[in-house]
Amino acid sequence: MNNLEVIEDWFRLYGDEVYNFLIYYTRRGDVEDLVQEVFIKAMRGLDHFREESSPKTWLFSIAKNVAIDSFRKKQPIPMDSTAFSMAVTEETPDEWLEVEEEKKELYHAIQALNEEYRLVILFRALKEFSIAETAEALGWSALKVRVTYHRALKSLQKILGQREGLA
Amino acid sequence: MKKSRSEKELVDTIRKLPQKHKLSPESRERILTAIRKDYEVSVTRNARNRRSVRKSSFKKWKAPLVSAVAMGLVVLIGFTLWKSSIVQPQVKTSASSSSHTIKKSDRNHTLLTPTNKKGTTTTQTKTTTRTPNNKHGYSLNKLQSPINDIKMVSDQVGWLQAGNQILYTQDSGKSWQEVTPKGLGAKMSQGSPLLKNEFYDEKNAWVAVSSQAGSSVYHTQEGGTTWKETPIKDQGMVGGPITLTFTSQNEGWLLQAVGAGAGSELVSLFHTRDGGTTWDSVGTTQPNTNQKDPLPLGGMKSGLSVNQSSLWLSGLDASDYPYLYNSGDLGVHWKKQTVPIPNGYSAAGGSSETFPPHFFNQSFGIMPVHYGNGGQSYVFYLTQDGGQTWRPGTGVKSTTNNQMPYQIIDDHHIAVLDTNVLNVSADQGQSWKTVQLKYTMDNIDFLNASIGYGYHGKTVYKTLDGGNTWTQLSP
Repeated sequence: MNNLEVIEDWFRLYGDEVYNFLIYYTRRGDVEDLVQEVFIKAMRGLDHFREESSPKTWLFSIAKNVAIDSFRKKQPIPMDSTAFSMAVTEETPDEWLEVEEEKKELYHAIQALNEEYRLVILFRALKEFSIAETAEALGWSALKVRVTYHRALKSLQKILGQREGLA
Repeated sequence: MKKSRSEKELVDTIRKLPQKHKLSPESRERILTAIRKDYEVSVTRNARNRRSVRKSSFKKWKAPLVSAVAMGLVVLIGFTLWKSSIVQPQVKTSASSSSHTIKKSDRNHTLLTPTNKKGTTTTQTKTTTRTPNNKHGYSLNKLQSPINDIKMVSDQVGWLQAGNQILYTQDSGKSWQEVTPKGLGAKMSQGSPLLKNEFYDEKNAWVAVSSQAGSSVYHTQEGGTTWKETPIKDQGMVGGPITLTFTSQNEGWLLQAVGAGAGSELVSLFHTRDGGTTWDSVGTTQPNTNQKDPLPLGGMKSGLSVNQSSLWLSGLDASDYPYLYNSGDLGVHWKKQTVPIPNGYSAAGGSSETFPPHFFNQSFGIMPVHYGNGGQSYVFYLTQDGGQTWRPGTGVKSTTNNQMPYQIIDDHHIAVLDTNVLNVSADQGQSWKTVQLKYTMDNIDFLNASIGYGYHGKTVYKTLDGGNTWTQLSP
């Protein structure tokens, strides 16, 4: 397979996953251009990719960097629920009515976390990456992943608790 | 939202957050078209570059080639004239010889001869050149992952780890060679392994690896030229190696995270006395054990340090006090230590985290403690009695609210990096000087109070004045 065929294959396999991750991480709904950038960057760097590594981990690591670059150009929308609303449209109406408020609150709490906490929650909890995969994708040590994840969950509990107190 | 949701419930709810949104068929087609177009452009550009390289290399060599041919002709004519002027039997013999051997007395003419084909230079190069396949240097641009660790062990020599790659420098980081153990590739094919390094000196380094296939420790005694792998008897993965530390070329300790529960972490402790050839299991945390003062199950472990026969285990738990355990019998029994909380700080609900204390002799040591309440701060504690009592210094607070890497450089100097601010203490963490950095950095490694290295992504920086000014070293 040439580089184009490999990337086309990966796009079919992971395109939607990268898309969903970018929606959460950038807090935007209009991330198609970023998805495109991720796969083009992957194709350009494919010669440096080690076949033994996981393409998914590598693509998510590129996606994170592409998103950070986009933050520099354009400020993310804080606490925006447009992306969330877009994301929940796939739920059935019954499920949505039942859980939307709870999920929305959790979504906002995640977005209120600092950068590192948010990243580790998205990778470890939302995308269910292992410690090793998260460490590879974020370029962190396993220890940093473990400890930051633990702290991020504590912080999330605290934010949710505070909101509960305010309600 | 339910009150006091447990960590597990919270994670389960996060996993149920909607992620089913799909790219529209139009977006997919547009992205695929863009990818294909980019590929075509790069293929065309590469073909053009290859042509221009051929052209330019011909241009580059054209002039010297003409000169060389002209010079060759002159030399040939000169040689012919010189040969014809000498009438001696051995010259005839020599001239008839296919090897064109010249007499010792004619050394001035050795340039004219093809000389011996089996020259000694090649043999010498083979014996002195390092065996890794990148003898011309490895560009940091080619790294698969951002740099995780740099450790300079002398002015010239240092080690670098980026993801699953290990590199080595012998010229203060100007150039690097990849020295990744070959066996690591096999581990990588079974998913991303977890790594921990101990770059001990110019020759010795150990890399602990945990993958789905199990755990191993690689050891080199030759600066990464060859590695020896020793399997560790555990099931591998989960949290992987937490600490790999050597107190001499022979004696080392390995702490592995083998499982996690709510507020607890299963760990295994191993000990070697022969440089890592054999590893003895000292203990594993047990959920239900009758053993007195066992290796503690509770808490997340951040690391282990060793001071002669005394072992220290650091981390965090849900209590309202900093987490610190000590073993005085090489890891068999463990006792919780008291660490005072300085005024203005709180460790409530597991918001503090200790890191392994660093001992400089039997009695004096420095221990970093992270406080997360009301921002992210480090307080460095001192002990003068081998860890029986700890006295806190002055805290250093993060301005970015991110976790800050630190380094205890020597028995006086400590550095704490806060993205693009470097906090430096020259008095064991009692007072701090802040330096605004020109560059954003992920981590730092000081060789001494003056010379230090910093890195961000795949870029390495260097300072020669204790962190006041930095220059980009590579790539």
